[in-house]
This record gives sequence, structure tokens and C-alpha cells, in this order.
Amino acid sequence: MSLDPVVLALLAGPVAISVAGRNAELCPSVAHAYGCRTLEGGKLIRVFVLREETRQLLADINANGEVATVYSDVRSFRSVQIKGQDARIVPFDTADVQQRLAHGRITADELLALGYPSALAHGYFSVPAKADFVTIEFAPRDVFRQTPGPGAGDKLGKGAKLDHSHDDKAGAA
Amino acid sequence: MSAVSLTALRAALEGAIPSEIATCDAQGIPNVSVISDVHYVDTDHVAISYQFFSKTRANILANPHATVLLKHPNTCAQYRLQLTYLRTELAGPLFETMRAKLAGIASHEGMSGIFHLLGADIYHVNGAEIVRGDLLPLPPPHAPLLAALRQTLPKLRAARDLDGLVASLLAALRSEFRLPHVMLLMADDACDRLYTVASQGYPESGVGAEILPGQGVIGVAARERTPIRITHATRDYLYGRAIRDALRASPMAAQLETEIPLPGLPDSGSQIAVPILDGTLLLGIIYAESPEAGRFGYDEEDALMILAAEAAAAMRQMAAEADDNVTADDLATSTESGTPLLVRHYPADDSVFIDDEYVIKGVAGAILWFLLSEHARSGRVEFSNKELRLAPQIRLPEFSENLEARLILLRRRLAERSQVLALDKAGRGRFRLNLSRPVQLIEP
Repeated sequence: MSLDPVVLALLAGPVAISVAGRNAELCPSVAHAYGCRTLEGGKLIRVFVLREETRQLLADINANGEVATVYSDVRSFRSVQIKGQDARIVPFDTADVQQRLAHGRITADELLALGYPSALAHGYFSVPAKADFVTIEFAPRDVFRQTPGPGAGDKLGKGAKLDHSHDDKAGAA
Repeated sequence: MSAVSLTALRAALEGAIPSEIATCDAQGIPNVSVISDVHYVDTDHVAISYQFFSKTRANILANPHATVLLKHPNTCAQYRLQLTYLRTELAGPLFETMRAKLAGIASHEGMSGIFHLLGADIYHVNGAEIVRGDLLPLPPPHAPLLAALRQTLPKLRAARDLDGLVASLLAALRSEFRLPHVMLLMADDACDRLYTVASQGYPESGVGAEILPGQGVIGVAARERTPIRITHATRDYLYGRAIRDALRASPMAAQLETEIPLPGLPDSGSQIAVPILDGTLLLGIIYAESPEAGRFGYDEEDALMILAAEAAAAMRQMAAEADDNVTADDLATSTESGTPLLVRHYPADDSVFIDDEYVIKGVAGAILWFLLSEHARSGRVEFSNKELRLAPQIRLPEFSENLEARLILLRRRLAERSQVLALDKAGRGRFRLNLSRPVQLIEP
């Protein structure tokens, strides 16, 4: 499936990203991602993670390909969850490097604009000097609205829009 | 990545930065969701706020495994918790603690009115690990809490009476704990309310102000016998005009002190109320607030709870010793001159007015009227606590520490309201009525 332009725009913006997998015992694994990139209008998504922070997640994805990712706009909390079942670990390529740097910059800038101190705004997205990134690539199978509030978890598709309401803000646990 | 004690990670559980929770359904499809509050319960348990039914909740009911990613609000460290869902609590102290915390977080996020706690989901913590260590240094603590406790506890133990204990407590909160805005309220279980006996850091002391259990941060802490902490002040928990208006309209209004407003910072950023407990019996509340958001964390809560426990032990000891044998046999009289002071008493609520200005009502009002009446009858100015306990017209609640607390309140209230009428201590279990003008008593 390809992604709605609104979803593509959200993914390209200042978003906090997290990635989850699960093992054979159905125990979940989760990690922070440091940026993402979409290919072919969203037919493929690539998210960038640090190998040393994601050993269990990478093992789980290698084992079964199940993946869930959430992209949450740091200003508005507008969020989507995108899931796939064919995730695989691929090299972190040159285009990923550029996108990772751009993502870190725009997200930190947004946090600065929100009033976060500079050290924190940059700290959340900073990485070690010799960061060992890998990319998780998958084809979106389902997209869900994840903006906190009533309607969180609704599958996006025909008839369901991401912008259900700008007031939909509450903890969508 | 290294294993670590959950307790060492508590700063990341303040809700300042949202966390992520990953779960998995019975078909093996993972889910990840942003959550606003992971709450520290004890070294082996956390609670997560359940605000409405979601995929996360459906998943943990089907498969109890969950993994949470936490971020430290100051150092950018990241931690991961491996959890197993145990149960959901729908009421009680933990639920109320989380509800108040969530209200503060919601206010901070601009989501007041949308965050509502339906339940506290309790999880066992199977493991905690550091995903990435501190990138930034921790800010220095506001006060060295262990040192503050070490300095303060012996002083509380050394207090000879409730007055001394209250003074030590307030002095320590200001100088050792660096908390300039505090109140001490005592519980009147017989009448199901709290009354302010001392405060510092406010333009008006509010001594005598009353609160009903369940109202505001203090009232909820009192009702639930649990600390209530708000990291970002929220209207939901402020003891504001609406509550006072409701009080005035309540059937209990005649018995409640509604004339003396409870003090409060106009720009309160964070608040904490901890109960002073003797077992399950509520003796009082220590309350502190700050213009700074996020001023009170888990460590401050721990320190104030230790302080409150020590204060409770001291109060219990005083109550055991309060059965003194001192009687008022001293017939000392006072030297009064000038225009008579007009003191009016309304028996319906024991309210007392001096020269048409409201002073106090309730038990403290009854004590004042008793003393003045006794003085008018016999000229006596020295009294003992014991005779007050035995005086039927005062209708003291059952617990003896209440008398001392009421006397502190009355003494402080008189000091604030009257230049010519004062209560001074005159040795253990005794006090002296000081009058610089004659008194004319009027009872309509």
C-alpha cells in the first residue's frame, strides 16, 4: 500500500519515532528510532536505529519480520502507527545518513521553538561519535491513527482521516 | 546495556517526557503507543494510567507481556523496563495519587479535561536496563534531603510540646528542606475536617482555615491517607474559589470555618501534600508548594513522608503524656485598663467577634469564650489544659492532641487579630490569658 500524503508529510516532519517487535514468546521489544525515510510514495518505510540500543529488537525482526512503528509530532502530538510483517535489517545507506541528519535537525529545532533548553533539544536526538546505525525496512500493511484521545487506534483508510480532530489529545495507552 | 534498580530510575517516571509502551496481541502483532504516565509503585512494580480502552489495553488483557521505553527528563538517558501486567485498581490511594499526577501532566500538556484516569494498571517489573546513559549532567538538588532529615529528626524528637514541634517542623522545612511556602494542617476526625495551625511564606497565615477531606491536593491526601503530588499545577486540584463557594453552600457551612481563606501561591507551579499518620489514623497534613513546576519529585515525597512519620511519632508520644495533673490553682489576676473590649459570642457555631471583627469559631471559639467567661466570673487568668478537656461547654473531640492544636491555632489567630488579647504559655500544660483592657462579654 502507498501512504496518504498527510501521513507522508507527518513522517517527514519533526516526529519522535519508536519501533517495536516481538519474540517467539510474544514478548515485545521497543526502541527509539533516529529518523525515517519513505520510498515510492510510502510503499516502503526505512527507520534508523542504533545497533547497540536495539539488539533484542533486531533479533526479533530477523526472526519474524513483525514490526510496529509510531511517529508522533513533537508539537501537536498528532501521531500515526504503521505496522508491517516483512521487516528486515538492511544497511544504513548514504541517503539514510542525510535523512537522519535532517530529521535530527528539524526535530531539535522544533523542540527549541517549544522552549526546550538547547542541550535537551539536541540531546534527545544526539548519537555517539561512532554511531553504528542500521536500517529497518518494511512495507506498510496497516496505518492507524494514534493521536492521543478518542479514536486513537482507528485504522486509517477509506473514510478515516488522520486529522479526525485537532482537539484529540489524550494518552493513548 | 546494563541491569539497574528501578528505584534508581524514578526521575524518568515523573511524566515530564512521554514514554512508549510496546505490547503484542495473541496473533503476534506488536503494537507501540505513547503513554503519559508510568508511575513508580515500589522496587518491583510500576503502574500505568489506563485512560480509555485502546489496543495496548486489549493486548495486555490477552498477553500480559509489555516493554516500556523511558527517557530521563534532564539527562537524555534512556531506560527499558520488561513488564508483566498483573491487575487494574479502580480506586484507592494509588489510583488517587496517579489521578492527581495525571491531572498535572494534562495541564502541562494543555490537555486538561481530556486526560481522565479510569484505572491504574499494575505491572510487575521483571527487569530494568539502561539503554543509553546520561548525556547531560543532572541538575544539582534543591536541598540535600538526607542531610536535611538527619538535621531535623532529632529536633522533632526533642520537642517538649506540640507548639515546639510545629515550630521545629516549620523552621526545618524552610531552612533544611528549602521549602519557603508550607502549611501544617491538623485533622479533626470527630468533625471530619482539617484545620490550618501554622503556615509560612504567605501574606496571610490562613491559621484557622478549614478543609474538607477530598478537596484539592490537601483534601485528597487526607481522604486517601497517601501523598499527593502535582508536578504542574492544575485547576482540577487547586483549593480555589469554587470550593469555598461550595463550602458556603453546604449543609455543614454553619460548622465549617469559611471566613478564613486558605492561603496559596497565586502562581503555584507544583504542590505536595503528605499525611501525618498514626497507623491509619490521620493526624494532619504537611503541605508545600512552589512557583516552580516539577519542584517535588519522588525523593522529596520520600523525605516529607519520613518527616511526617517522625512528627506522628512525636505527637503520639505527646498525647500519651498529655494526661497531666496540673490544675489551675493560681489565682493571679490581670491588670486591665481603658475602654472595655466588646467580645460577642454566638452559641450556634461558637463564633467569636472582638469589637465586631470576626476572630474564630468552632472548638477554638468555644475555648476562647470559656476562658473569657471564667475570667469575668473569677478574675482568673491562668488555666490548665486539663480543665479545658473537662469543660463540657467546649465539646472537645475525643483525641487529646486536638486540644493542643486548637490552642496553637487560637493563640496564633489572636496574635494576628488582636492587640489587647493574647494567650501565652505558662509552663507545661498551662497558659495565661493576657488582657490589657477590660472585657465586656455579649451573648445575643
